[in-house]
Amino acid sequence: MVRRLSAPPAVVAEEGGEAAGMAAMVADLIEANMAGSPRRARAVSGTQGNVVLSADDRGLSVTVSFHRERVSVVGSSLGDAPVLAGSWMDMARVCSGRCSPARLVLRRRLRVRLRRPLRPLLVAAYVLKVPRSTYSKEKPSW
Amino acid sequence: MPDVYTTEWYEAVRDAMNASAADLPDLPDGSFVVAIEIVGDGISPYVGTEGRRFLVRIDAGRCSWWRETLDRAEERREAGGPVDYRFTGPATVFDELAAGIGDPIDAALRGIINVRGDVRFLLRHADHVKALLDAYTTRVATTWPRGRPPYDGSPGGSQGVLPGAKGESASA
Repeated sequence: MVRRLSAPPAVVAEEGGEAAGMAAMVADLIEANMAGSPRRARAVSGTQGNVVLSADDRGLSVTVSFHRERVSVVGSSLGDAPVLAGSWMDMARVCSGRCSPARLVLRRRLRVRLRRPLRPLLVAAYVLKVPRSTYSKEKPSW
Repeated sequence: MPDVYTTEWYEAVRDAMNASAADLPDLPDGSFVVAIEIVGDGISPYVGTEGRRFLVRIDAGRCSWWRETLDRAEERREAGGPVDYRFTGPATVFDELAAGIGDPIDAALRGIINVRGDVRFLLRHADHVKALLDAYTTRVATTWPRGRPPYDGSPGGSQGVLPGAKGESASA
């Protein structure tokens, strides 16, 4: 049976941190992806833990924190969490479906540092990826 | 070589953007309008306290036109409705970027320039956006009649406000 959510988890970009702009973009991305995909919203709901996204070519990181019914994103690296690291442009290509994450991992352009529990990392990878249907809609079409 | 923020300069930026876009294999379809809001910071000699704002329209990956506007009401009229994206930041930062100092993507990721709009499409066309920004920052030979950034007295001192900003303050 499919569990229904009354509303997707709330997403907040925390102020401060060296990568405040990146945090705002990641928060916007998660919010938009959950709004367009109830499956993503269900995956996020109930997840707890942190994931660090590191644009290592820029020396900038953000931490995505899942708090079951809420997600916060802060523009710095917090604690001993799993890490997804790569160049900002490669991250953009993976999130928007232009490049396979597995391919970039094999080429060592995308690096994963595993930490238990794995669920936050898997959920982050899923919710950050834009649903393909988004790009088939007409506006904006670029 | 055009003076910064003159009609000739905007035209040179547009031509540089279109030359960069011409080298890309996969130009996005459709149209969108970007509002650039340059906030006066009392440091840039080219932007008063009231700031500057202009619109850039992109059609099929190429810049069709730019227009300077006075306020959001005029912006909305010129754009034919709400804009698709809005980039807002201090004048010193935009001056430094136009002088080829610092990196516009860094400025956005650090929140020095605020970016509003649908991030999913910005990511989808990140290579195209980067090409347009590179044209803005490096492909126009701009002249600075009242001094070239970085400026003395900017928040980052004589090294400018952007990460990686280097160079000497120059006067006319």
